[in-house]
Amino acid sequence: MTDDIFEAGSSDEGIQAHRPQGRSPAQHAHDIAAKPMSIPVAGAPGELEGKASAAQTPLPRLTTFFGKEVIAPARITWAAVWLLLTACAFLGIGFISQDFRPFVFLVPFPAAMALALWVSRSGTVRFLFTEEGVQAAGLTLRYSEILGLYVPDDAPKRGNFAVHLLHDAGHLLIPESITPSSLELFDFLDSQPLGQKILPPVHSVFQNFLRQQMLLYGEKKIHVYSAASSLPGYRYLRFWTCFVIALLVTGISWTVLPSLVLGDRQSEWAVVGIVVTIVAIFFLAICAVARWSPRRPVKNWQRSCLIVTPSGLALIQGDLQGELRWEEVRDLIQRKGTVILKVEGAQIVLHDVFRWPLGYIFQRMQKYYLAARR
Amino acid sequence: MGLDDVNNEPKLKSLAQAARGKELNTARYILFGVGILSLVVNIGLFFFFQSQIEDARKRGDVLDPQAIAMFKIIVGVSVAISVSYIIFGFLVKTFPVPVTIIALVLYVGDWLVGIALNPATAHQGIIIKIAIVIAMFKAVQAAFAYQKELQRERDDFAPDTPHD
Repeated sequence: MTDDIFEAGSSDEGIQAHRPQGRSPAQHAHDIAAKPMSIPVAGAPGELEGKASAAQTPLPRLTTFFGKEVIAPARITWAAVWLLLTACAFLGIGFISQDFRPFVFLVPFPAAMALALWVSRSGTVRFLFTEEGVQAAGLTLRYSEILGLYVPDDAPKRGNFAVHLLHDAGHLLIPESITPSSLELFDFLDSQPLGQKILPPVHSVFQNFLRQQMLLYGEKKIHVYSAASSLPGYRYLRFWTCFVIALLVTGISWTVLPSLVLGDRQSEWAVVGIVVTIVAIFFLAICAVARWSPRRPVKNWQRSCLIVTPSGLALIQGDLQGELRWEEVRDLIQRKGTVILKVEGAQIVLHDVFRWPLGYIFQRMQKYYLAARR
Repeated sequence: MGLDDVNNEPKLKSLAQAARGKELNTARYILFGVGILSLVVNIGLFFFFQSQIEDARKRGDVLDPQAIAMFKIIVGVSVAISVSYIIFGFLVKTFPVPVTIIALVLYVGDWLVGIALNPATAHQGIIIKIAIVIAMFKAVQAAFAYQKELQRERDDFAPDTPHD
């Protein structure tokens, strides 16, 4: 897994040093993973950082993207195109054969579904890079405010990949669909004067733990993840809402069109249409409730806080609170948007309620966990 | 402030133990749920059959006293088991290991006896029953680890044994 870890800008473990020229992100990630790591002893914090940083010289600041607008265009939804073509084919067959039945029964669903898919696709996002920082979606982020760059583990080995710009209040995603090369953009961002990580204030119950860990390992090896300012909505809710609306349109069409177009007042399709309409209204109500009641994976998620250190972690999440040593952890896995820590007789599930991506937090935890197991 | 001073400050509680406690809480909710539900069903059944027996007597039907006694025993045992689940729910954090093991054995035993008495009911609610057994099995695992950690904490805080 560590083969794919690649990051820059953060100031821990000395891997913040820039990628050497001629090394791809994947190769550089491999270099990082291959580097022997040990937990520093008390009294010698930061020893690793000095050695690792000295081995690499930083690149000069790149200017390639200054004043340029990078566009992540809305994706073409091929399923929508195919469905629309199918609807057109049925329509054509109807016109050729002078038979309106295909128009009434076969066109509504693919046509409505194509429209739903088209409407629910992600829109175009524009990023403007200046000498000072990045502007996107009404947000201006100075380079000094970017505390790190993060490329997810599942980034493709070839082609473009998503890059997360980690900042104090959260993270900004530059999707893989951008027109220029993600690699070039990554190198450009990596060469900018990015900010240094500062530990955010922590909950009072963590004060002693944090103080102790800072004395043991130094500030650079401690990672504090406070709660996100807001949680994203349910995944695919937009798609499902559009799908249900398409189903509703289909149901109404099947109910009304037979009598309007064919003059058939006792069509079986009308019965099917009524059933489909009722089902669609039911699911539409569920979608509406899901939209208006925000996603809450844990109680009091706003209180959540996670501290990751070379010797273990401390966590507040919902009604779980306490500290855990890496020796107690039997397995550490990432599954379905969560991180699972298996301990004897139980498992601790970390939800995506923190300010930075859970994949990034997982990488941090895995590094220390594997080091502690060696 | 030195490392020794910080080490002497109160520590955070164990997160692993909190997670095990959560598993035991899940077991508690399951025990309460199963106990209350089966108690309601069994009491309902008892009163339903009691009224059926009364009606039959009024009609002058001949009833088998052994069958009636058997029915009352079965309902009585079922009610006792239901009450036991509720009591186990209260005691699961105090005596985690014995309570979770007895509850699991009792639940599986009750299920098997039910199948033996009436094989036609074997498939009824099988998915829910399997889910409950899995959850209770996990609770037994959590209980063992919870108990071990409690014992370790007690040993850590116990005063040294005086030497002769």
